[in-house]
Amino acid sequence: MTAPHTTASPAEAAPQGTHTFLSSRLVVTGILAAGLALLTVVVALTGVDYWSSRASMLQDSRVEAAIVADNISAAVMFRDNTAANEMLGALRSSSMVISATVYDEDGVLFAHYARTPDPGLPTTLQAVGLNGATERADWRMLEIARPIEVSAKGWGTLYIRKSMEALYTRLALRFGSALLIAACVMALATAMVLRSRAAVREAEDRLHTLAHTDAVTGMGNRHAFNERLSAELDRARSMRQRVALVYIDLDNFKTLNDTFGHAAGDGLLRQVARRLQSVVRGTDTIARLGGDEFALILRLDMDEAGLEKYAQRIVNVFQAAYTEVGQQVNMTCSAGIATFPDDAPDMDALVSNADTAMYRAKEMGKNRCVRFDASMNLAVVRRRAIEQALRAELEQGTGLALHYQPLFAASDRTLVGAEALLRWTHAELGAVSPLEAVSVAEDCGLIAPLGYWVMRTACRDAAQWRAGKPLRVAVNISARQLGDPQFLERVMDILREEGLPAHLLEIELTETVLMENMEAGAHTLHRLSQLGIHLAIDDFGTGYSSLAYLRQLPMRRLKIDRSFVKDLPGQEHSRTIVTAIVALAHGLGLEVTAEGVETQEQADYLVRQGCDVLQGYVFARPMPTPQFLELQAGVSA
Amino acid sequence: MAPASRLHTLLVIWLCMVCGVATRVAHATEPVAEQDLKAAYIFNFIQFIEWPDNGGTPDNDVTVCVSAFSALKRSLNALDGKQATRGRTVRVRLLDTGAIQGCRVLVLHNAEVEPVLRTLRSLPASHGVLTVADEVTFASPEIVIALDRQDGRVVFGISTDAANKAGLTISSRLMRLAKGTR
Repeated sequence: MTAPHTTASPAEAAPQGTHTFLSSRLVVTGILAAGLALLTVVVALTGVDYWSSRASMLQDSRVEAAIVADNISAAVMFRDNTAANEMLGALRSSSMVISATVYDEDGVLFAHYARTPDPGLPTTLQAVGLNGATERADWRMLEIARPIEVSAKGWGTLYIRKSMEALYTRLALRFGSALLIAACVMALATAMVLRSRAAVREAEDRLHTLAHTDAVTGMGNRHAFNERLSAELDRARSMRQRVALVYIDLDNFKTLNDTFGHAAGDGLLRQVARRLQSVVRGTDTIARLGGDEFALILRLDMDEAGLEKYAQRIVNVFQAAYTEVGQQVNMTCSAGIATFPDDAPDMDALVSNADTAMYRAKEMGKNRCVRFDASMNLAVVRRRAIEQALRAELEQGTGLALHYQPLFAASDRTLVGAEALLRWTHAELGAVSPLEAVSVAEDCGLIAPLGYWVMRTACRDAAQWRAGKPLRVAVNISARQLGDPQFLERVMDILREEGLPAHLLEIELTETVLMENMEAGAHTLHRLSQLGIHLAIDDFGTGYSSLAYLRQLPMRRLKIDRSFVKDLPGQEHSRTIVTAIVALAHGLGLEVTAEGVETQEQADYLVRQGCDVLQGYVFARPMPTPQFLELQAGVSA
Repeated sequence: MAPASRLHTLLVIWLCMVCGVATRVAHATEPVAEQDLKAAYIFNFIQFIEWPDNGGTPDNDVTVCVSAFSALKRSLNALDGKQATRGRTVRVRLLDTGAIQGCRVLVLHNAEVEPVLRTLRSLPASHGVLTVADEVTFASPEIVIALDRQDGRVVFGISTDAANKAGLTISSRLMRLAKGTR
């Protein structure tokens, strides 16, 4: 009734075997000691029994001799040896009596009784050899001499010989039965001990199995994985071998779980486990660490190319679609590989590095296997530093700042607004690119606070702008922000608190942001639009570019991605795209902004094509607030 | 039976020593030995018999009154003054049929049986007089112990009725040795 125990391994079995051997020896020793103690008790009791029996036999014999001597006194006195012999003959009923003799006053045999005819019966008292003693007892025979007296006058001597045989027979019988009882008790106790030990061992085994087995897949769990990895590393250390650790994480498993339900999720995990087990070798260990994470411990007896191939085999496991609850499910995995001792000197580092490599695989677009590289750790260290610094900046810092890149109307080149862009210069990290900062912020959950900081700062600054006519400020928001249920409320709060009219705020979203928040996002965007906030699609043409949402959503503007502008006006391909986008936007009633305008030719071309707003280095670089205020002053002047 | 006769001789020697008449042993003839033996028996009987408390003579003496006609007269006289059981001293005197008071043991001869028995009958029950017949030939059931000879050995018979009547308690050890309890 043991659960499947796929990770049972020699490394685990060995200490357990030693333990079993030791404990069974302990039991045997315990039983032997108990048996010995019992035997000692039996022997000691028999000894005590012997001495007490002997003493009581002596006492009885003395009494017997006294009675016989008293009874026979008259017969001796009256020299009636017939009667004396008869009386002695009465001792026949006492089986221990070998012989009884009466010697008269001169020590001459007067009457006798012998159980069996005994030619060696002493005929005189001297021949008896007691020399005046009343009794003599050795291990074989008890001899008692008793004077026969009447009125304090001795008439002769009674001499009785008794055999100790009966005593020994009785002792042997008692010893034997005590031994038998002791043996029975021992057997019973042994049986009980063994049975209870078996029960305990079974329970221990069961607990061990439960503690080391993953309930869903039946493979080893994290606990078993840790033990096994530690053992494998010890083995590798002593045998100077290498070990590879592969971390496998299923891509988007959470979504699948949410979509199909947990039962289906568990079924998928079981299928994955079966497939993984089918591709690994016998010496390799596979374990489920929890959730959608698996780990594979390989004894590395191959070169890098072999490892590469092995990893690819694991990733390929997922190529075929899974069928669960009657549905075809496509699943991929991201895997990270780290090796011992090349990548890491100990277990913790090995696990951490494999994890890092796995996350890198995720970052690189999932469905792939990435070999750990020392630079990854540097990246990780930097990201961690950035995260800490960013957290500190958001709480109370002065390093974060917004720069504004002016936007100009295509028709008369007048300033119509500016796009707020994040700039961050840290005392130790130096200038951190906004891309990196946002990426870190997205990973560690700081994106929402950062986004609101940007929006609030931009609104506060924009409320100060006085350039004769109102200038609109454009702020980028991330997918996470749009998904925030309180986004609308927060934006309204910021506008009210900073005193910026809603129509002077333009929110820029990328196509990707929109796609990821289609349902919730649409509602929020409609509300924002109703409140007067302008909405723009950033980097248009690089994402999904679904024309459907352009129609459905209350957009005001498209921003042509800088990659299309860059090759203008020379490249025909770009010209075609730009022309098409402008036509499309105008057809839908949207304004068009061109980003990244770097030359006058590009500007001219875009104006000719009908772009409404231009943005780029040819006009102005992003600048800090004081400079932007100066620019405004210059324009209005 | 050679061992038996040898034992017998030894017994005789022993008895002579007990009686303090060793000097006579050398001259002892068979009848004399028998009489001594019988006298010794009478002395031994005293040790196995309990007298009732209302005995006539002072406690420390056991008076043996022997018939003037008895062959045991001489032998018994030799026992006069001998210490018996419980510190009693044996006194031996001749029997006067008219005055048997004071006698605890009467050793009777044929000639005096009838008058003595008559006197005893007149006494109250449990008079405490042990009657011994020195020969079985005249033994009456009213006599407690009768001495006899059998196969050259001295034997005795006990009449329990007579003993009961006289108020005597005879040890069972002695009873066992009696040949023909009457």
